[in-house]
Amino acid sequence: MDEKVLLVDDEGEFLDTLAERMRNRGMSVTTSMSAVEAIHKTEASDFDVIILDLLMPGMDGIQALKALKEKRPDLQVILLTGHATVQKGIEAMKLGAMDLLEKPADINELTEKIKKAKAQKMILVEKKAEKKIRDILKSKSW
Amino acid sequence: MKAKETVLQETGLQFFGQLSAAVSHDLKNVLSIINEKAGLLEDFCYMARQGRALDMERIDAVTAQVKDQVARADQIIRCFNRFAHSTDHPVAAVDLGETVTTLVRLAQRLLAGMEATLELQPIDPPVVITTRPLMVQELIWAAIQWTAAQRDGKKAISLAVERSGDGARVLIGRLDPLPGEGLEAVFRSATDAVREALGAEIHLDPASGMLRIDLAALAPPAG
Repeated sequence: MDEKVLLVDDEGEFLDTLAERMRNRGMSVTTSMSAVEAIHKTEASDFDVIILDLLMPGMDGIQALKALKEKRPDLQVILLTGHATVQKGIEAMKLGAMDLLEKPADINELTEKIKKAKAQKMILVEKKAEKKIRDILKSKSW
Repeated sequence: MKAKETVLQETGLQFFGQLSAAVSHDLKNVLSIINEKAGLLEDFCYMARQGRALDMERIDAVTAQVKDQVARADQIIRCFNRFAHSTDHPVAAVDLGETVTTLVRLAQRLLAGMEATLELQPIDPPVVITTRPLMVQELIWAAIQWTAAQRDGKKAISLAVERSGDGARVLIGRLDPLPGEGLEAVFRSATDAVREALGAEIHLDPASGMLRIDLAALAPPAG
């Protein structure tokens, strides 16, 4: 099954080229040039993973990660950054980012992380479904 | 209290570091684009080996885009080199228009982060003044940041440089609405040491809404 990816970066040419390469690898890719637009897109569609640039004008990657995780804790987010400081990495992980990759990124490494993110999301969705069924069973007298 | 010399060194280094970090980020972005374009060309080769026809026009387009990014990086490095050389002499004759143009080009990412765009007014004839090259940029940048911080959301900032007697005048704004009374005094005090070393005065003109920096011409270095 195709991985559904939302790619967010304010560099248009980077966004379009990486999106094309990911599509060449069978992924379904939606792009967004700002964090605010990305948040709207996650409200309208379901994504397996979001690739988010750390430093963007307006709302940056960390702020966007926080907002996304508050709304949808099961969302899998991978951060892309030009400046991978340890401090930012720790902050991102604490906020629930799945991983942090430094630019320029290797497409094979990124693809692996996307596959892992999708698997992780499926586990979370299954757990959620199991809990829902258990709750229904508990609430019924039969 | 810190000695003035120490304050000047610290703020100067902070300013240099801030600009350098922005430049390194811009260069990383250019490298990332080139990396993806090279990867895309590899993808085309792979697909051609699998029997798919090569789209030569597409290859030409991607190659041209790589060249554009190389030119972009070259432009960034040229500006950064000019900026780095502004530390060569503590006092020197400076073409303010050229200096401010370089500063604005280097600070594009920082300006975008503040949701600000900067419109540099045409400077004709050139305004050349004997001053402290790095410090004058530090003061102008501090004024741009301060102006941007006075307004929320997206903002367009105008910057003009003009001759004023033996010295020069830099106008930044416009501030609309005007900040609360005394706020420009806070900015003046924050840049106290730099202002004094440059022999500069800062005023907020309520009529035009422009922050005005009056720069005095310093004595040329001996020899």
